[in-house]
Amino acid sequence: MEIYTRSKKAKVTEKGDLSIYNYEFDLEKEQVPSNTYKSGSNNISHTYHRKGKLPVTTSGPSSKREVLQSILEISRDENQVSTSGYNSSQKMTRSKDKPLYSNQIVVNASRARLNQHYGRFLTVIFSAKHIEVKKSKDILACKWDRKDLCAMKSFYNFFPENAKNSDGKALVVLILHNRRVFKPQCSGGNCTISSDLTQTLVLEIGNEEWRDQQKELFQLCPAYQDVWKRIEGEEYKFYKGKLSRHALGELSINGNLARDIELEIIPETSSPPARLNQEALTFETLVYPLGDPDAVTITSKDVEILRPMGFLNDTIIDFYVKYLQTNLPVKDKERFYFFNSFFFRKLVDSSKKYTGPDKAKVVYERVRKWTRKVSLFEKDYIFIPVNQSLHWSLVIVCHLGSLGRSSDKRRGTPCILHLDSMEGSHDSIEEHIRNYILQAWKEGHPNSGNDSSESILSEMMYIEATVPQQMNHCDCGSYLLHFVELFLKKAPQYFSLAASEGFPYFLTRNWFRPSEASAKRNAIRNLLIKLHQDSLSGATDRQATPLLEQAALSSTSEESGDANELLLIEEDDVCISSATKAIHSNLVATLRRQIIEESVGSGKRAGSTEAGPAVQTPLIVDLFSDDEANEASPSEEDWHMRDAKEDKLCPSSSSFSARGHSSNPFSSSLSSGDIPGVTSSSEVVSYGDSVRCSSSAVGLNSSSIDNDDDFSKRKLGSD
Amino acid sequence: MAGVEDASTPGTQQDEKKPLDGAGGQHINLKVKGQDGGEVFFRIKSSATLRKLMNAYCDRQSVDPSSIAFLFDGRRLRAEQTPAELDMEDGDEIDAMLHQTGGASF
Repeated sequence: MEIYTRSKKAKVTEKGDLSIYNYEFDLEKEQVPSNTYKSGSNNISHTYHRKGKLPVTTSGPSSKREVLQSILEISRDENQVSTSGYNSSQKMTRSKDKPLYSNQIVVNASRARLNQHYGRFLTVIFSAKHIEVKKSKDILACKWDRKDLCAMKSFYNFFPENAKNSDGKALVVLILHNRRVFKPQCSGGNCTISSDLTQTLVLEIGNEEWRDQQKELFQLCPAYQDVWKRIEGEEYKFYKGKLSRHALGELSINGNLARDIELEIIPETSSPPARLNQEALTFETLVYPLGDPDAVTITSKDVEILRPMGFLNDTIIDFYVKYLQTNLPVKDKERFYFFNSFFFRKLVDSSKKYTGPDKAKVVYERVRKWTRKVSLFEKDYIFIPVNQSLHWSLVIVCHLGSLGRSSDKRRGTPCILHLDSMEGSHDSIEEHIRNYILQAWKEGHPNSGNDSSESILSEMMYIEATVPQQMNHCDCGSYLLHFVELFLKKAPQYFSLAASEGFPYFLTRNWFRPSEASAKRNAIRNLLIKLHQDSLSGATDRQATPLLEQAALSSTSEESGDANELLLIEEDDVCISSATKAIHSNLVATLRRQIIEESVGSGKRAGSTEAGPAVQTPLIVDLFSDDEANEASPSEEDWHMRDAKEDKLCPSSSSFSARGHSSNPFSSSLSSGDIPGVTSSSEVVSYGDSVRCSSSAVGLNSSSIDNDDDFSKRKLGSD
Repeated sequence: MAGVEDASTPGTQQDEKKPLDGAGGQHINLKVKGQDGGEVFFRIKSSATLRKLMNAYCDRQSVDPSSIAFLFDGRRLRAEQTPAELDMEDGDEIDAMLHQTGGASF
């Protein structure tokens, strides 16, 4: 660490030339963040922002001195800190640190990333007023005002693979404002996180350690709790190694580090993020299909992920499948069954938990109720979306009804089709599907022995279908949906392998063009926005009625008896809610229509003018869109100007969402230990109008609490 | 039903509360099961929306509510639904599953 500083210093002093200094700086891929360590270096530091390059404009004797000064200060500071820093071992030195910083929480990250800069063994000090990064070998010291912290979130058990050797690691993400450069736009409520205004600090910390520190942090200053979790999941995409590495380009990275910590930012090239967000803002929440007990709720965040290169999530998948299902011709509705995207996950999760001879049975039991109102064996085609390792693919089970009736080939060949837009990604799904079908079959045929069941199952072929392959890293969700859509259109009455050598004639590499699948994203987005607008104007009954009828049709056809009552209740609810909406929006309605018409007419302005009206009352709308117009545009211009200069240096920095890597960060983060104080033992929390926390069987604390707020506070505080 | 109540809550509290609830306000016990197998039990009025339960669960697990999907017998639950609406019975189990996302695998 010292050597590093000294050599740099030496170069500056020897050559006495700032440009050379710049050069060195660049080579090292170092960054001096905008808020450098000492206030004395303000003049310079504010121009350092995010690119890690000293701008030429600050050249001149005085600034040179200041540079030196700041470096000296940093190195001086580093000497002080080095006593508490890491030595050769990874052992944390918290016990040593604690007396030193009594009003502070010292977090030792084993690995870290500050924007594009990766480092090991970073010490970060959180205090009530500041967040301070101590200088380390890879990352220069920097300090932010606590108010600059606009969002913070942690993911536990981020690297489950490593967990065998050591404790799991937690990944802590902080989004910090560049206050010196820009006025913060984050004032309570939701904050707009845009990369040009913010810096991203990612820390990898031991699970247990962070769990304690997180609590300490909240106690230290409640403001930390306020910003907690403002980062929304959809904004941050998780990738595995290769891609992020590619995106990182030439950045000097420290070995494994690059592969493991990569909550990296995706360049948003195709369209400015601001506009997408604004359109998404017109979108509140859509429940589709209205009145269906299986309806899917789509939020604005789900719409946002339909931007170019976004990863499709389960909600979008389920929505679109539901949409296709709803719009099937009535005669076809009974032929198909669609599992939602959680079905397969549930199968896999369950089978991971149990071992033993009756495993398949136990696993089946976990999902048995999912199909209690459906007889799978009467369906021609059963669709199962599969999500594993951040990849979507599709399983279609064909003609289960023909199982065990080998004589009757006319009914189609029973088989399991796997449609994968990236072949070889999902190798292990066959067993899960087979076991499930076997158990389902056994349930329907309790008298058949094990042998006959096995032989029944061996009838079924598992076929990796030949389908178009995705050309990029992000389209597999779109492919899945396109598979479903086209399959539904072309699904033969009887799918037979015997019919011809050309086996399902439409399943070929050239089934459709890749661009068709990619276009799906946009199509779904437009569809969602349209449906949402329809549902809003649906307060005037005309347009709501067909939706309701449709829903009624689909669910009566699927279910019987009690489901109808359910539907009735829901219909009531729907009417009420649309009625209240009508009152709310009555005043706005005319105005809104005008605005929408205008905006549609004027093309380019559509994004900004649509922003508010669909959701809010007119007053709010006006205020809002004005704000947007006044604030967003100048900063955007700024941004472009800077980008024009700086893009060459750092293409990935002007970007928006981040990614990291793990085989499945989300599932792993819940999989164990995420939950302080909650183990598999039962806790009983009673919930009603007044909340009572009752003494549980295990004998946890029993106390009664007056209201929900207390309840949650207590949990956060005292667990 | 009785078994669960006995194990979980002092019966008297429950009995006292019941008459106050008036129409449709019967409480049921629901179990929320996470993907790690951990279970949390909730007692909720069958006419109350599930929003409360969902928020309480997420708070408890320190997870972002928007990152979790709740499923009951394979159905995605919506926050504005009520147990009564869903024909939930005492002791029923809700699955809490993390939202899934995917682009490609490597």
